Amino acid sequence: MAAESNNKVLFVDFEKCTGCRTCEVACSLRNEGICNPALSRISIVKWEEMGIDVPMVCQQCENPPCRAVCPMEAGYRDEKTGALVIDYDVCIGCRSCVTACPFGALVVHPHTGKVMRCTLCDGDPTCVKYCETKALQFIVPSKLTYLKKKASASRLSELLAKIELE
Amino acid sequence: MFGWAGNVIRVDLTEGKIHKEPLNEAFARKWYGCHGFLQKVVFDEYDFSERDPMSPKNIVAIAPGALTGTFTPGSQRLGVAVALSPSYGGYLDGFSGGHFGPELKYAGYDLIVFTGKSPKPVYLRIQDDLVELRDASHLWGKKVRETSRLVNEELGDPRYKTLFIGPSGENRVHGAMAVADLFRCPAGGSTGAVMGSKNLKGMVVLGTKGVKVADPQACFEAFDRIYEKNRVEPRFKVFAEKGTKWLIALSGTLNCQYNVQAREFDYSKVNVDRFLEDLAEGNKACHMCFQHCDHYWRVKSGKYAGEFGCGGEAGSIIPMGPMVGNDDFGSVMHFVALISDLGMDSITLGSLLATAMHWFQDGLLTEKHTGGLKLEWGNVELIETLIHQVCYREGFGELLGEGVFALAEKVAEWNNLPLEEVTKYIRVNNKKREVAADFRPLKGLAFSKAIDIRECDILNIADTLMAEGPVNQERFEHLGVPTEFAEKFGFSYVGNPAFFDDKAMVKHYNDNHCAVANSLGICLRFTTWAQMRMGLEDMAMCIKAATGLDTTWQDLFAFGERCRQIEKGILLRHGFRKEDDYMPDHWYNVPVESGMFEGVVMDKGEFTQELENLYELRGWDKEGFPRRDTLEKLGLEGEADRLEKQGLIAKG
Repeated sequence: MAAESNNKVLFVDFEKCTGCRTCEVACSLRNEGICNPALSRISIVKWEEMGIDVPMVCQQCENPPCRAVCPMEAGYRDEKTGALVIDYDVCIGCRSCVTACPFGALVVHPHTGKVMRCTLCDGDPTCVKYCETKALQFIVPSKLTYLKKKASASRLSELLAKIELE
Repeated sequence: MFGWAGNVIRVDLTEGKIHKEPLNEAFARKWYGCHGFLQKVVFDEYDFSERDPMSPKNIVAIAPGALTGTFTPGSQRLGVAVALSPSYGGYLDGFSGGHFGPELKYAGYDLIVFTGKSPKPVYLRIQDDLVELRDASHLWGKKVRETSRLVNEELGDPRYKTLFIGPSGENRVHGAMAVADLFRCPAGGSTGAVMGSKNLKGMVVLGTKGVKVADPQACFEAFDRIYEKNRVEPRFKVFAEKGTKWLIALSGTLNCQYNVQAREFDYSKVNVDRFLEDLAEGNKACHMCFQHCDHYWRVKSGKYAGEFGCGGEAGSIIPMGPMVGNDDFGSVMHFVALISDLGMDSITLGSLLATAMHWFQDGLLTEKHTGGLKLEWGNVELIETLIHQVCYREGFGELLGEGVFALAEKVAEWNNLPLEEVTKYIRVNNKKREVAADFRPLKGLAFSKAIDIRECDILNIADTLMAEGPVNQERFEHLGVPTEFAEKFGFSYVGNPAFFDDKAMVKHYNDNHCAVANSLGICLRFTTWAQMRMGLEDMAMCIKAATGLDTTWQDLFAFGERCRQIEKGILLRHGFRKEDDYMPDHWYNVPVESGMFEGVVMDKGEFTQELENLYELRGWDKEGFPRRDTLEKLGLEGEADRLEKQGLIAKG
């Protein structure tokens, strides 16, 4: 078992997302050296009219379909960060992984056709750093689930308080 | 080029021709973007002898800022300008946030200039290198949200960012504007009406090219520095949680005389807490903004249950609530959403309706004039009817759509009154630009608004700089004012609203500051202007990181000065003179009639003194004509020549 810090996951709480796209610009700037959301590994899917913004990014699945469908077995897991990464020396650019990903989280470079994916920025995701509302968090799963439990319990306790008042 | 996208689009709507050209580097470095570009284009290219704003010769120009789309905090501004605004017969540019501006940069463009008039309705589609005019006949008459939906379906891609006018722009209503991203409004000056006159429904853009920056690491560092400074400011928390809605009751009650309704309004049902508890659903933000002052909201009960939208600033809520005596918050938000969907500026429309109601109450307007409508305060059905009549130019709205001055002329005629008597009740400066409130008690605001051309858009006024907090050198430096100015401000009357003294000094500084931020495309709410800490030095740091250009705050201040000089040049060529830098005469020497400022007087002599002080600071003569050496020092020799040919340069 790796140290706990290696087990952090990128957790998205879309209800907190303001849709500012700072994560997209930060990602593209760090990883491609240019401000260009089209090259960002994280994308905010917007329903502008409904006020819904959902950041979509690689979930670093335990059982990743992108890796399963790769004919060249080019995908592997970076042991240091826990991220699934591509060995570009082996990748033939068939984009099977793009088709297989149920989240649409793999990005095809609009001009070169290269498949790009989230590498968790060597264990310190830039998108998380620049998310003001903490809609994006890089966090160990046990803490994540505890915080979710706590949020839910707090809503429950509010409801219970109301019942007593009635 | 770093920072800029590098291309300009020119569209001749008459011929349906699109011409693309590379952005001239010297032009970019001298005028930066947005505000700077738009003014320069109008100064150079507009035929000032053409006085009809609906003429095909009028120019509609659109530009994001120099830093829009880069990794700079709050860098998302988009400017929409017209050379000749039907609202007052001068130049106007309105700014908005949202995502359209950055997307335009990502597609590769820094400026779009429209001229001519299309024979049929069209919209401009931009997808990276693909730029085309497309038929908009099927969209004509549609509201903004529906238009955007239809176009995204038509193009088969929901990612397009949109900028469209609604029915009020098509019907050339005074106060119409284009709406970006469904809810963001570069309002002011009836830019939408000019677009409508050109049969230009709007434009959509999708960009995948991105913006190159000179030094990515420096961009991150500059962002971090500004973020760390701003997030600890008390103002940050207020805006992040409440947006501008915290100003509802404060701004509303500032309406001293001419809007009795707003002043005496019961704010217990329409206020920021009611908004946050009953309506708000979550914070929303423009591109690259960590301040997220916007809210998505939904009406949950009452007749308008289910109505939803984004935005709804205090500036929109006040005209649809307090100013027209409407205390049903659900209906206020319904109107806010409806008006922006119709592509209409809520402040212009709200002031118009309030004025008409006022005259009706005073008996100057009767049912005979209004087509049988009883203009009662706070009648929700009536307000809804009036909004439709104005935006579709039906019934009484045919006249209202011409704006408040056209209405005043009619009211004077119908009542056999001198026009001055009637226009007493309209809050405008001498350029006929609407003023948000009766500012007689607040000398700084009164001074600033008398001179300004941006009515409802307060983005260019000086007074927020001194509106609150201790006024001393330390405080100003804390807010990013360079020491040289902070020193002067610290020992002055800039923070005292009871006197005109030193207001020219602070207006000179802050107008330049605003011109810089608006040209770079940085939201003023991140800057000194809003009591936040991004000053000119920080902007210079961001320019260096994004474009690689070495600039100092002095360079930027001089650039702001350049913008103000060219704006003055444009206004002079449009025929505005010193007398147009005043409030109407009835503002002066007449004490405030009632309320907490009862008895306060605005002295015309003191005003004039301060106005001439401002002219002196700007390097103009006593009549407001720029001196040649003022322009030459700023590298505006060509502009000085053009002004001199028309006799618009200071003599001697």
